[in-house]
Amino acid sequence: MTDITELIDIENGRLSGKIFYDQEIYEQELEKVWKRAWCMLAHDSMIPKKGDYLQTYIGEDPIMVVRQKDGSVKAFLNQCRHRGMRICRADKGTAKAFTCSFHGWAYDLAGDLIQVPRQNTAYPETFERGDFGAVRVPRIQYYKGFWFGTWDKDAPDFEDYLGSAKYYLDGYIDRWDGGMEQVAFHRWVLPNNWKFMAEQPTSDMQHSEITHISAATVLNKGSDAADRTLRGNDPVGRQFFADFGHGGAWYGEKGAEVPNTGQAMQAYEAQPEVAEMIARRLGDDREVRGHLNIWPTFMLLGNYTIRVTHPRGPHEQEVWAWTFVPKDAPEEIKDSIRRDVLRTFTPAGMFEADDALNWEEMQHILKGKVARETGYLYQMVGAPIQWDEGCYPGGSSAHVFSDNAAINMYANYLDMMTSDSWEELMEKRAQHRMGLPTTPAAVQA
Amino acid sequence: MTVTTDPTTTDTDTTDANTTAIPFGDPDAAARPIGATTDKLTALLAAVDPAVERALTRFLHEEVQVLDDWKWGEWLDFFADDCLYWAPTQEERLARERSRHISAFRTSAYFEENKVQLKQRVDRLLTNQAWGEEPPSRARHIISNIRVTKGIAEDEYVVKSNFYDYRSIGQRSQDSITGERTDRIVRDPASPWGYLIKERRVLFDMSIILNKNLSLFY
Repeated sequence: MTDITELIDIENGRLSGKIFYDQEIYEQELEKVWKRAWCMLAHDSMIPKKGDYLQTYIGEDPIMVVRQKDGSVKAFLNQCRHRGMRICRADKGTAKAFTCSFHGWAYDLAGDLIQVPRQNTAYPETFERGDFGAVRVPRIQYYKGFWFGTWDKDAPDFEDYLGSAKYYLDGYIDRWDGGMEQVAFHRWVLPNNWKFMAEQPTSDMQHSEITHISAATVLNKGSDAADRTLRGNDPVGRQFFADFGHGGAWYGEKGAEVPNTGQAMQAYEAQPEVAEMIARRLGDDREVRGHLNIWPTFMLLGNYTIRVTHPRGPHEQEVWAWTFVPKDAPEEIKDSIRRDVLRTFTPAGMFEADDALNWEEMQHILKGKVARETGYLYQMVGAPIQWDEGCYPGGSSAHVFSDNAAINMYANYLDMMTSDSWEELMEKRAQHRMGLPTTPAAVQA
Repeated sequence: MTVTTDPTTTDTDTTDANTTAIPFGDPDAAARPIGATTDKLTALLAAVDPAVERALTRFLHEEVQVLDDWKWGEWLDFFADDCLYWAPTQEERLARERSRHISAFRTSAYFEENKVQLKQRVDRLLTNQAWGEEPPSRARHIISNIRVTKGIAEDEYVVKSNFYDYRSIGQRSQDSITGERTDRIVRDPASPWGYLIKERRVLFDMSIILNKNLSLFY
């Protein structure tokens, strides 16, 4: 185990490059982050009917997510208990059972082992199929259309894990009576550490004005581009951050025009009946859409590209991105949202394509010993932090551009990496805020 | 699986004028009516004027030269004003669901562009601030397996081609991607090259895109 405490200096806003490069630290992340955190597995619209399944990952562990006959969703490790072959190789589909193509072991929709060839003739009588079902993801929770899972039996309930981030997440996913549905899916590989991407929707709205300047320049009025030109140097908006590392930010005052979404979405939500529906569901002061990340890597942008990234060693990640639309919106609105995301935030996307270069170069440079030791600066912390300010739960500041949420993310990362259990992690959380000890009066949780 | 030929066949009747005994490349083939016994290749070749085939082959090679030379503005000259440029995604499906492995139109896609939108992408590159391509990748589009077939309308052709696109950028970054293009190309003497692409479907040979982005044109 590497003690990474020395590598993350919360007080002075300095991070060592080692945490993005070191193989041992990565293995520790697989143990202490990915085997412990809540991860987004699927949305209802991806597996609507019984027998529908899809493959995804928690960390590097391949899992099957399957709609059961009773309507619930179960997930299990996509590894045959016999000799470890991937049980199901299709990305998605509908099935009644899953048969391993190596020796023919078969599993039902829940991952229970239902057939072992020659069990009666070649296996001892003591062999019980019930003992060798696929490894179950023990905790599954449903939240507003999404299914989340964790390997850790002792994890807090998902809503407790969300904590104050629930308010902001709901602002994206709980707006419409009919809910959302997924209409497109893209996957690609990036040659950089997963935390570079996780940090961006958490805390880095600022990069967009330089990294994505070419996209902003050419896109139509009403999108991010036009708003940016009008916004000026210190745009109105807020950044928020929550326990366990979640964070995000948005432009605009409550109720104002929401940049980062296309004209189609704005037009749809400006209609009186839709605006009333949103106000009824969320209250008047819920204009919080911009970027958001639920730790570790469940990311949402206000134009409704919603993605996760799977770690693939310290130097690589795999992005799985879905486009979502309001289920009850007119077809032309849905199509417009879908195309807006397609052209901006998919592998050929006019925004997405440029992020790849930053992260690739950052990762490459970390080969240098001096570069790794020099590390990174997170000192844009001038924005005063407010706790539970007005309608904004948890930590936030009245400034869109800030490293506060990144510091919070890495403080929580440090806690996760140095705790042996959820119990220990919760104790640490009760003692810190932003990685710094709380005042004596607030220490007792 | 083994295949055995029957050594006892006695069918040697080759008296029909339109049998497969007509050699490939027979210059009189185009003049002869296409009968049920014409071989596939003769039929395909008879359907398209060799001069057109030569022109379209050169057309596709000139198109990618313009891209490899970073003259993206000129690339738009190859496309009709009402064009569609589409690149669906692929997934792995079991055999009984294999028909769904390529995404349907109007669902997932890497590109789904009309001419205005292609121009917007080109304009983005021309800002010289599209950092993913600034400085630009050194790319080499290798187009091969060009097959021209007759389209439905007069002066319309369906052209399939394969591509091997290699690129390097920066000091150490390189990747490549292959795939197939299916183009519907029309003759238009008033256009810069005399032909225009009305529709292009690009099918990349990947499900997960194994390169960091798709920042070229294909």
